Amino acid sequence: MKEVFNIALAQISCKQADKAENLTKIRKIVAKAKRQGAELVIFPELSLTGYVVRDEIYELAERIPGPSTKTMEEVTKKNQIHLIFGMPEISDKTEATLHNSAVLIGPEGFIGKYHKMYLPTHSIFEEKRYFRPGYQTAVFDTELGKLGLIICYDIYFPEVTRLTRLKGAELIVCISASPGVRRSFFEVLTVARAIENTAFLAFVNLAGIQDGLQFWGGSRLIGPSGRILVQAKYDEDDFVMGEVNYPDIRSIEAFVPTLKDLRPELFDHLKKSAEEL
Amino acid sequence: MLFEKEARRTEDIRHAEIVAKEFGFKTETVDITPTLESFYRSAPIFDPTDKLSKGNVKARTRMIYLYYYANRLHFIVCGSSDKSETMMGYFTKWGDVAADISPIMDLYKTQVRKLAQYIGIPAEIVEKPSSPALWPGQFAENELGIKYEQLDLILFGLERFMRTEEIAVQLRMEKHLIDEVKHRWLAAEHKRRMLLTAKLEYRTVGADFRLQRNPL
Repeated sequence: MKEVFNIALAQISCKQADKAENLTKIRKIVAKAKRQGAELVIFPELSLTGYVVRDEIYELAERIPGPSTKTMEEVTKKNQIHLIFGMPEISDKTEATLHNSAVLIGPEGFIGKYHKMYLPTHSIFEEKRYFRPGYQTAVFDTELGKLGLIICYDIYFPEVTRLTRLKGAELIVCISASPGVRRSFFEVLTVARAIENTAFLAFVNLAGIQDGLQFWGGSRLIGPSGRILVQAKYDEDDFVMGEVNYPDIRSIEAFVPTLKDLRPELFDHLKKSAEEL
Repeated sequence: MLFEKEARRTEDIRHAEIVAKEFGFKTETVDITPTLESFYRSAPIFDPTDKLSKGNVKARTRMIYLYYYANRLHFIVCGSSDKSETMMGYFTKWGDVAADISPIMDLYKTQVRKLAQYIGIPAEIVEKPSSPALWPGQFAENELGIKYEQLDLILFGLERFMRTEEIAVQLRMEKHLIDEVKHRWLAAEHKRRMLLTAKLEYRTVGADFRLQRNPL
């Protein structure tokens, strides 16, 4: 397992409902990431299709593994790199049950996927109209250590990141499609999640405008002490590289021992209170 | 309202009079030709050979008169657009589609014809080829390049989330025809929506202000 490696945050804008064009863009950037020495390249939430596709999502969604992940497997095998991106997934068992999914593919092929747990359905968001929520965190044992996947609004619920961390993830990847009016929340929450879990957190957000929504970009890699190691531009396409150094976690965990001090009995109270809300 | 001279057909006027009489509508005759001629003279970039732009002026001028009547008489404007032309974007933005209520917009053209027949509209009106009457000899099916009987079946499938391949098989039609209809339907979505606004604040007009249509 590698202790120190580079990752690329591929902050892209997408063409709405055009998988072929988005795949072409992703493919080019994966090759660029490899040339620049990245072991992992991360794209935003629903970057295969764009975020605002509304009813067209039924036609765009695919099984995982499926045609688009197969295409991406060829790309990661050729480039010997790990890739994370977002896409709408159609359930294996029904024809119209969709998930908002994150996919992890490695140099050997498909590794795993995550179904977004918290689906925003307020303001301009209508995710529960289309998607079924996930019920499991996702942590995968890879050559790059244990990688955890979360998506966008999940980050508002500290228990998702915490559970991902408790299952062993030391690099937590949050892919996102966050519009500009919510930037100030995410800038704080991404840092908080890294600090309270003493983990690396890579946040990769969409850029560009879809149906009047400006996605604010600002992708960042945050170290386990909450330091922003690298940050992409606001609003527009960008590509930045950052270094993950797992030994840094050990040194900060002695100084901010949140996991050592965790109080399991509080979670019982939390469950009870949440049920009574 | 009378169509202006260029596209006026006495048959259309007679049909309007039959329907008005049948349902007890009051009518008033307005000739919009002078308004149009004045517009043509006053717009420095006016080009009579640009048929589409000129046709849109006609549709929007009719709208101005209708809304003037509505204001003066404290009425509302009732639209007559149907689902086939609305899905295909076969209308003038802010023109013939502009109305306060649109009772038959959720019925395809072939359904509107059946309904008209059922309520006793004379066959010569029910069976008459549709025309926006923006210029002489203009007919909807010619311009759309497809018969409403076929078009409505395709749109019905698209409405039900069917893929174009499935529709082609079921209707025994060539897939490219279905793809063209689908493309035209999707390309016109901007004509059917509230204006595109930038999301800048807490709740946004046309996006996520979710209120009753008449909150008071």
